[in-house]
Amino acid sequence: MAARGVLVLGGGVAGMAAALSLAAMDFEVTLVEKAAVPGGRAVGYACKATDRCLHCGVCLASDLAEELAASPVVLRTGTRLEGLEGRPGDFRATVTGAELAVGALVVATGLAPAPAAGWPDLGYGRLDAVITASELEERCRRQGPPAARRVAFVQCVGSRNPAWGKGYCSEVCCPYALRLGLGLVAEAAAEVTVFFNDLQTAGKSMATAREQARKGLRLVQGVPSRAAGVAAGVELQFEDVRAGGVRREGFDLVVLSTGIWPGPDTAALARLLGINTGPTGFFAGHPGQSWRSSRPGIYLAGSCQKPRGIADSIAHGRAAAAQVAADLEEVRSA
Amino acid sequence: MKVEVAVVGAGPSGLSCAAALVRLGRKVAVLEAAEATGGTLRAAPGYLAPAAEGRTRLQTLQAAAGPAALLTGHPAGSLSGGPGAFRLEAGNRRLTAGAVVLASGVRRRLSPADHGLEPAYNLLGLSDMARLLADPQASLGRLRGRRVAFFLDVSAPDSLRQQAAAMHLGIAVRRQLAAEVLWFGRDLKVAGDGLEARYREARDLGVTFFRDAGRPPMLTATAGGYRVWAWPEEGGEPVEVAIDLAVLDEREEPCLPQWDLGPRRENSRLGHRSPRPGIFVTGSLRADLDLEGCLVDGVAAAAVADAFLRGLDGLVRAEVDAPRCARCLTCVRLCPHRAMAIAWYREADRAAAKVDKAACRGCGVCVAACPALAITLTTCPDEDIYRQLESGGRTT
Ligand SMILES: Cc1cc2nc3c(=O)[nH]c(=O)nc-3n(C[C@H](O)[C@H](O)[C@H](O)COP(=O)(O)OP(=O)(O)OC[C@H]3O[C@@H](n4cnc5c(N)ncnc54)[C@H](O)[C@@H]3O)c2cc1C
Ligand code: SF4
Ligand code: SF4
Ligand code: SF4
Ligand code: SF4
Repeated sequence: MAARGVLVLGGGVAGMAAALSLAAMDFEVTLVEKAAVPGGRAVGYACKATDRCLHCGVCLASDLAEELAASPVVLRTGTRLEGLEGRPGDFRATVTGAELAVGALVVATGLAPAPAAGWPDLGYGRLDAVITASELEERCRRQGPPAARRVAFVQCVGSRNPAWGKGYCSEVCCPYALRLGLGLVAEAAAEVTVFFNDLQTAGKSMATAREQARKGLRLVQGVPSRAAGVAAGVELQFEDVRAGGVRREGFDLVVLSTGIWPGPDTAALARLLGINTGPTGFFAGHPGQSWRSSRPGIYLAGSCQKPRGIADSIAHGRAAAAQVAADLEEVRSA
Repeated sequence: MKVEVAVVGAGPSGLSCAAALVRLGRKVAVLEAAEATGGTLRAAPGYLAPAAEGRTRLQTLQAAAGPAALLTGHPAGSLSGGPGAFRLEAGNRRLTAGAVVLASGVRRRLSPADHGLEPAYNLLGLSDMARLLADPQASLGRLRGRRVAFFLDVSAPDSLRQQAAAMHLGIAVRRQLAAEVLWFGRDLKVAGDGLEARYREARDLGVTFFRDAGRPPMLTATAGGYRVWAWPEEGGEPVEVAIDLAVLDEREEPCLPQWDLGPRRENSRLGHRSPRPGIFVTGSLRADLDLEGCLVDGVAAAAVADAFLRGLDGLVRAEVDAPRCARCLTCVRLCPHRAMAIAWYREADRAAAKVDKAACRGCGVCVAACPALAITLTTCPDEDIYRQLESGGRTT
């Protein structure tokens, strides 16, 4: 029964939320994930609680993964989509090693961090002490916080600049950097400076984080334009917007807050599925119904459609599920 | 009136939720305290999106939610009962609902005292400003070419939606009244749908942004307006400007009915379930969402509520009154789930139709067809429902 079957592509938080919702609505769901385990980017992050929960949403990812394991959703890891034929209510999808008859397809293939090497002036790849925020988190998780005393975060790398075709704010990198920075202060007694354009700290829980950040971190408005290697680490050159004038300052570790770009498979998948991408390279959603793609029967969930944090990606996955369910019931009764 | 879901609040998230539930084939009632639907989209056009865009969005939403029973002028009153059979009072109506979605949003209140000011005619809240800009009767003409300033991050620090509102309204003021527009706040928020582009548009239109460096601006009333001192540089000299109209951010309070929703959990903000089973939360009541966020969130809550009801559906079962059964086999033939069979009832000491509770889905086909009126549908008692909920809401 093709019309009861749904294929979800991508097992990040958005894909898991969509799959679980559909399963709870009695659909037969297959979740196809190209990696070896589901969870997407978010299961790799660590809990950001200091002395209290900072609402980063990371634990939601492991909750979903657990729920998924106990659900009737058929999970195919290490699998990709190779072809799609048919029409809404009656698609034949070819995935690695199998053919599936499904009524609808939910695309939840997620995001990619902006490529840090794209800004050579900031020293990534040239200087060892320049890393990305997710590399910092990875390092903290494996070896504990780095020994660096003076740490600088550089915000908005790869975001908020129409010249790169990325004239949007990535929404998650400010909260992420503040939480990581607070972690370094708490655990490694580091002196943390955050170079920012505008701090995105919306919501009550972020107000808490911001208050903590105001006390614990040095916040400097103005983003550095270049990094140079010096004997004692990295020297950043920046225009101090508030105090005025160009300044130089040395740091032991420089962390680039790379923004959210479309996932690596976005363009190829758009061609394979015959769906549109928008001017910023993400899959294009309907105005007011962002969970629908440009092709009937194919739906979008999470950060593959625009930059979204974990909680928003989950909501978007559920919204896609509701639309799939409604449309498939209609196909069946027609 | 009996519905499957009662949605409380007919703003963008409530309407979007109701529309999605209708698409899912659910019977829905929307309770709205005001006399018309639309919430902020109607009451303060231009607040959540540019006015024209907001109007089209609202029309689309109203059309999509059309098949739901829209009970305007019916504020949600007391609530009793439990999952599957909530009893709700709303104005002069009584409703039974399987599940309830709270989409009642927030109440906004101007609080000049937060800004160190007395109430005055040239002092407006963001939502008043939206109302006046949309009102052809309002005489805003006197502001043509004057100076209008927006003050953020005071009554509601870190509010994404108020910052988005100020951006939409600032652009509208600049375009409609050719007034000079100034913006004062702590952080500029661009982390919303299309907000970065709106910010660029505002800048290109000549809106001036003053981000304070740790010290909020100071306002004093003058004869026809206000004098503002702002400190855009740490320890630097203040900037001094005279303005004609001050638009202030507002306090927000959740609009919650007087119900016991159970104990709050630490990260309850992150989900659509309230602590009380069968009651769900969506929209700006749940998180600091912009319009796009509210539209998505309403539909997401619909998915969660629908899945919950499907879990409950399994809890309604047919029951045969054995002594009345005439053994006509009608139910055995008609049951689409093959849940009926003739079996021996020891207590009645006779054979009669018997329901296989695991197979029955509570569709009611047999109830309607039984010529002896021997079949009824019963809901499992609350304890059974709670047990089901604890095991994930599914039947075995
Ligand atoms: C540096 C950084 C820090 C962040 N910090 C936070 C934070 O603190 N809090 C927060 O809320 N959010 C944070 N985010 C955002 C968060 O990562 C996203 O919200 C979340 O991961 C989005 O989930 P998703 O399911 O849309 O995509 P993803 O998590 O990217 O998942 C997509 C999944 O699809 C799979 N996939 C991709 N292509 C294919 C294909 N062709 N076939 C099959 N499978 C495929 C991938 O393997 C992956 O498992 C951060 C993001 C970045 C980059
Ligand atoms: S939301 Fe984030 S900080 Fe809070 S408990 Fe979960 S992982 Fe930890
Ligand atoms: S969230 Fe912060 S760092 Fe990321 S793009 Fe937006 S303003 Fe820049
Ligand atoms: S239709 Fe009614 S009376 Fe007839 S066998 Fe079934 S339950 Fe008994
Ligand atoms: S309620 Fe439906 S499923 Fe149950 S016995 Fe009657 S006809 Fe069969």
